[in-house]
Amino acid sequence: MRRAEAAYNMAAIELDGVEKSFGDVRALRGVDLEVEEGEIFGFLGPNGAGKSTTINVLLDFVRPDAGSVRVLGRDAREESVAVRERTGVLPEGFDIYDRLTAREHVAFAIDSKGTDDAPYPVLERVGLQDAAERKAGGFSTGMRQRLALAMALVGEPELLILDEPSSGLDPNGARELREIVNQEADDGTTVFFSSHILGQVEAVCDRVGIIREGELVAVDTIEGLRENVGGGSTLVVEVDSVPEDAAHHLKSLDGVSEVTIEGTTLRITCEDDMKMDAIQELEAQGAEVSDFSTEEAPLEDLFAAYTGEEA
Amino acid sequence: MSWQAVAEKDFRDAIRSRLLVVLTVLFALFSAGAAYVVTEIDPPQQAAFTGEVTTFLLIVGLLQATAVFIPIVAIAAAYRSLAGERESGSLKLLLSLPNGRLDVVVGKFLGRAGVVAVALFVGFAVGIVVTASLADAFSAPEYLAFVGVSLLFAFVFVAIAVGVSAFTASTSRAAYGSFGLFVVFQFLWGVLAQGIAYAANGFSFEGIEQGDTIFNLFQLIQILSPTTAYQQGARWVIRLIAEEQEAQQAAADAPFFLEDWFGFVVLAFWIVVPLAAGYLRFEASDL
Repeated sequence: MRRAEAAYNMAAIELDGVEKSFGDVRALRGVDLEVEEGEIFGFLGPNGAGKSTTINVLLDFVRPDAGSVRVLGRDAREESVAVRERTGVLPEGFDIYDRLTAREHVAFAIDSKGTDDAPYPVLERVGLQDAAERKAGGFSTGMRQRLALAMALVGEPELLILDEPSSGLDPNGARELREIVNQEADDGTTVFFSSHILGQVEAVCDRVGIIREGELVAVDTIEGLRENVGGGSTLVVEVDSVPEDAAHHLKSLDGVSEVTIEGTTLRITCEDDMKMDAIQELEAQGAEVSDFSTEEAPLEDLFAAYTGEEA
Repeated sequence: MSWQAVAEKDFRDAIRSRLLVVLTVLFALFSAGAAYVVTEIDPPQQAAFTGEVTTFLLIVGLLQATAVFIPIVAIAAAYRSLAGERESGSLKLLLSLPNGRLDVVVGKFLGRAGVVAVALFVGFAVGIVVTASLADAFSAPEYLAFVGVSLLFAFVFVAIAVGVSAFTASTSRAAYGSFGLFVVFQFLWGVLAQGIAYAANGFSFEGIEQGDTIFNLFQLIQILSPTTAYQQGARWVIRLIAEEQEAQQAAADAPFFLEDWFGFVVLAFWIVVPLAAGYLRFEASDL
């Protein structure tokens, strides 16, 4: 029942030419994005790139100047309440109600969504069962984050929108969050979450989108991103002595983009099928290769390549 | 429709605030103190004439004080209702749930109205004890009618404060706006009415007589103030109950807005209009 639309392979989120300015600041400059039903989508970008504005547009907190926004097949503006009935949201920069208990927060979410969940099991899922009757005013940042996540999970949403969900969570909390995200995705829930750290999304995301200065600069799998950036892997070669002009000779090979030398270690950035050629070239120059290995480009470099920021 | 959920949540949250406890205590002290002042220290002139402080006269005396005190309690309880949630960020939590913005405005109004009702009931309950012991002939129905109209008057200022609160993300601006409107209604409205009559009469007060168009205009503007409407409405209801025949003394040919019931139309107007204006503004804004 809940997944009736899945048969049509409908997009859970569709942004088409979305623009938004705040005064002189062009926060979104024509964003096109499609997130499929059932996928875990990581939405990446440096702070201020337009991540939160995009999410705010999905939730009708902010109205776009141009373009169309559809969530779960509905217009995000005209049918926002219907969208939010089927969407669980962990907003960014939110606050809780200091004088209400954790249980009252979840009860409020249940009342608002008009579902018949019981608060306690939801609190248990996020590990707040022991704090159910405590006023949320005394909660740590991590507990507040868990509480908001509990409210988002009420009513088995078809879509989860998590804006910077790991901020304020300790490593243990971040791991539990990943588990919950995976459980929800296993049930067929679409998960859309933003982060400014690529490493956080790599472990869970099917695909990622990278936004920079209000424009989407890439949408792909992590592997796809690596390939696109080029020179996705680095060959590390250990030799007895580095031949004169080795760097020059290696670079003259097709498919070798960069060579750095440290002592007797050469780091050669090249296409995968050029690795053996590179080693043979070194040996032809008279070097004895004692060891070699390949390294994948660090995620930070990948992110930096797209966002133009220092990792 | 989830305004019930919003109202209930808001009521629970606000009823636990320290501010509310303070306001309730103040209100209890106020209603007891004012009743004492009116009966023992500064009785209405009519009482000096008849030698008897009736519930009606007591209430007429109290109306002067409640007209100032009730708006302050109502505004203090409601000015943060929306601006406060926007300022802190809890509005994001509220609106990430399937609550429409109309649900939020209506729910906020009802939640805060409930909170103010509790404060007033507790305060007036204390007042009723003092009044009953001091008035020479205490009439519970008259006093209850007074409490009822006062509650309606409180709702007007809850609506104004919620409406203003919907206009801004700054609680200090919300406070200035609400208290500013209160000052206008309470202290400047008469001057405003006079100014308009003065301008309408060709920048002069000469020749304005009771019953002519400009005098009627002046009276209409005066009654449009919620404070005047409250006092007029309260007198009307209490007279109806007390069956004092002078209540019906208003001349049959007087304009409709001078009849006492018109005060209630004005009060209803000041509940609906600020909420509608606040909602329209809130609905149109980026959060």
